[in-house]
Amino acid sequence: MAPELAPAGAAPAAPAPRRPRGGERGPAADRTRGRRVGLLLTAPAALVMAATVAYPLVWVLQISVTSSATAVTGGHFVGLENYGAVLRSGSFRDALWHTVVFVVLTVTIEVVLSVLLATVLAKRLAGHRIFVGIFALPLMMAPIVSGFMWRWLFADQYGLVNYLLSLVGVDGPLWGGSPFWARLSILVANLWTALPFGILVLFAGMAGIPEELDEAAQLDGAGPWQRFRHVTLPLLRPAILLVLVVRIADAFRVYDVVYILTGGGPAGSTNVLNTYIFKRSFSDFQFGQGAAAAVLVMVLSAVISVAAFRVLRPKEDAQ
Amino acid sequence: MNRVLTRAAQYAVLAVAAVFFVLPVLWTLLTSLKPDLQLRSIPPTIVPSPPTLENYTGTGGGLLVYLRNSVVASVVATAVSLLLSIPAAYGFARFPYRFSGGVFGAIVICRFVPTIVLSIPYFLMMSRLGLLDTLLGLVAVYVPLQTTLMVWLLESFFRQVPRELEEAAQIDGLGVVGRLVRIVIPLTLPSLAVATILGFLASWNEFLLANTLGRTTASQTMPVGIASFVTSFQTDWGQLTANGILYMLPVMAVTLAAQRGLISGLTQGALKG
Repeated sequence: MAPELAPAGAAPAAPAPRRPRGGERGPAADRTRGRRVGLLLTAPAALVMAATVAYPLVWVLQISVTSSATAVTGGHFVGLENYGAVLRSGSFRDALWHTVVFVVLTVTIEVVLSVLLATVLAKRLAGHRIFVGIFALPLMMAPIVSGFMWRWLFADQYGLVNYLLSLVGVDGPLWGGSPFWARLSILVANLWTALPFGILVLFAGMAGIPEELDEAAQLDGAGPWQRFRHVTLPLLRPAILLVLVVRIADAFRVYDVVYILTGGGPAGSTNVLNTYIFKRSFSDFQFGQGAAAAVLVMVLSAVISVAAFRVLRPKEDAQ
Repeated sequence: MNRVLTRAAQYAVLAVAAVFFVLPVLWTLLTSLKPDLQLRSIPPTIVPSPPTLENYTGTGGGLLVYLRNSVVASVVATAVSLLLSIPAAYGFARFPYRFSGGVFGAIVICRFVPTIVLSIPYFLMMSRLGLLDTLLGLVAVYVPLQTTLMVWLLESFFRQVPRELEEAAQIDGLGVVGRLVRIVIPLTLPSLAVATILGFLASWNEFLLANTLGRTTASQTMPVGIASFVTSFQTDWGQLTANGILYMLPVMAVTLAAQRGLISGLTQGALKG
């Protein structure tokens, strides 16, 4: 057993015999050695993560209570002043409101459409695998790519969307021109990247539902809607929960699509929390307020995710 | 009759969704193959006639330098992350120590920290270290992005390797590294590929940090390049779509090739951050 540690190369692993429990050298010694090996194997990754995530997180907390203008060179402690300034600012409140509406709308639409499409996929019609492949495509693509493609599709004169609308006699709008159409274009472009996740997770969730249940309900005279409502949906709850928690957290930090489609415009009507923080920090160089807003966003999205989890889980137990 | 209608409705639903998902990519591809004149015709020319590759070859593509930065930053970050994550995941899966569960949880939860929160300290950190606008700085922030995901996925993959195989190898005199390299890694190769692809994509698709830390073409990646070209006034959509296709091509190829493994990896790992 002695050579066990040798090839690990990293650190000479301290002389093996220095082990007090003389009697039970076998398993106990093994366990101690196992612990040491575990520590050696996991330490590099753990240290890198501590330096690149934990330390910056502490730093951002510190910046958020430091006077804005001098945050780069140190600055002085200002307590919760930055938080107050952020919460009082109209543009932060607007961005917060836009984000909340966006999250509610997009996640609701995503869940409804995902349930519909996953239910149809689960019928396993001939060729359904091809559709699964097509639906998986946007999942791999950068949101920035989705935004860029939809911007071209929504172009006023040369765009395909307005051309298709004109074919059915509709005069297409100037998509970037008014708050309503700009927001709608963001919703559509975001749906393109986000919807596949829900479809595929729910499709995988449905694969785990035994067919006999559905057949038994059918024998009992339950119609398609009743079977869906009382058999499929309750069994699908864990998968829906996963989609909700992940997507709420992600939708809260929407940024790329907004940046490339509207840049927050027209007139700030599509500003969201992330574009607000980005502007505050890297255009206005108000790092203190940017950090305070970022901390608020982190806390908010954590609270909402946990709440979604809490609200939805008990029902699942009751079923 | 009723049955036929139901079937038709089901296919109709799938077809509408498929058109929605394919249309943007198809339109981008068609645009990239159009000669300059047909790009701005009203009403739009649907199919380029004749299709041309001039957007791909003309003036060096304009965005190729961004593509190079994307490749370098993502490949290096993926390699470093694998070197960190494979041993760590193996350690967490097989050699628990006193706080290993907590350390594992701490690494995994990093995935849920919003990128924007880290962007501020990253910016200050890189400007102090003189790494603003360098590929090295970008790699440094992409490693944690990938490592948190890889450790999570690989730990569950490694756990599924039958213990007996490792024990037999141990009796044959293989050390920890030997067992990892000769037994565990070969047995989990398909899953390892999935974790590698998902990790790679996390940096390949990343925009916020690249946009924060990159200032010039020395380190700006493809998403930043695309964004800056799109938001500038006179956009050359022919070249832009051609470059977009070049940027998407490897992703599409990988998606189609590794479809099933990727989908199960995604649904299990619930990607994005």
